[in-house]
Amino acid sequence: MEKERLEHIKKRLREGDSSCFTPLVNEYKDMVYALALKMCQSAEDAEEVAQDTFVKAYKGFGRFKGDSKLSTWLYQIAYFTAINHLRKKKVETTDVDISHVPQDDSVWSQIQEQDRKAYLDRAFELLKPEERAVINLFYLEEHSMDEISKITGLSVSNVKVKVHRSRKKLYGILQLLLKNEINSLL
Amino acid sequence: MEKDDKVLKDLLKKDFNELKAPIDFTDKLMNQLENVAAKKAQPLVSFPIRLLFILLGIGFMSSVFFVGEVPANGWAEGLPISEWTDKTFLFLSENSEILALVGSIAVYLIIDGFRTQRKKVRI
Repeated sequence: MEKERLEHIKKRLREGDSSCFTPLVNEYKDMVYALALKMCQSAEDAEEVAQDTFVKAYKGFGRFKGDSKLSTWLYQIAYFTAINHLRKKKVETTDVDISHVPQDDSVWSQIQEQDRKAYLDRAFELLKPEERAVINLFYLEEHSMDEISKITGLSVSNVKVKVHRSRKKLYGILQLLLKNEINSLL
Repeated sequence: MEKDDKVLKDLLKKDFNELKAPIDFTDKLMNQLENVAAKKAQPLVSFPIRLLFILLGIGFMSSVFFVGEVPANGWAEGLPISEWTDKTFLFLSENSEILALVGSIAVYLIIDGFRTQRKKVRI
């Protein structure tokens, strides 16, 4: 069914009918935008990246063989578009040293439920774009390790290592934020 | 850590699913795609066709130079043809550079028009 649909879209695009791309955009725009926003941390950049992603997908649609899910392919384009966009803009992320942070297994229990989202956002800001993407893709459970590897261009074992390290870093940052918060209150 | 992971997973899922692209996203994108498609439909960039017309133009022009001076009664010398035909040949041989150029451009534009028409984009 999916293959038939793809072939139909390809055929119509070859005939010069771009309108057949609209349902596809409507179906996937939110997830592409969400990944772009998670990586760029700016609504303006995310919109630009998401737009570029679909333009690239439109131009290269004929080359998409349907070996992977369409969402995986679009995520892959969005991932690399975001990385290139941030490189062009020379957005630098501060490298947080969490080596001295003691491992605490219950960071969330120390944060009130209504504050968790704000803490997570602040912690995400201190991660690298690739780390943000990997964590999101992994925890959303929509994609297998194999698919995340296709999206990021890393090997499966590298993805596993990256997920592990990024998660550790995230929890470390959360603990740092929490510690600083407590210190500022004292 | 597992309990923490569950909290993280729930937070991320909720946040990710709540994120929506701007309302005018599709409209803006379709405008961009229209431009992309229009660019794709521009046949002027086709290199082989350009080359063909360049060669054609050079061929026409150089033939005039190599032919040399045209006889007083034109290329139709010795042939039993009318004065009108003779004058036409004379005019053509004297103005062949311009004619070749104009002819090439005309043919080019006709083909160009056909190609553009064929690839006209529907959005």
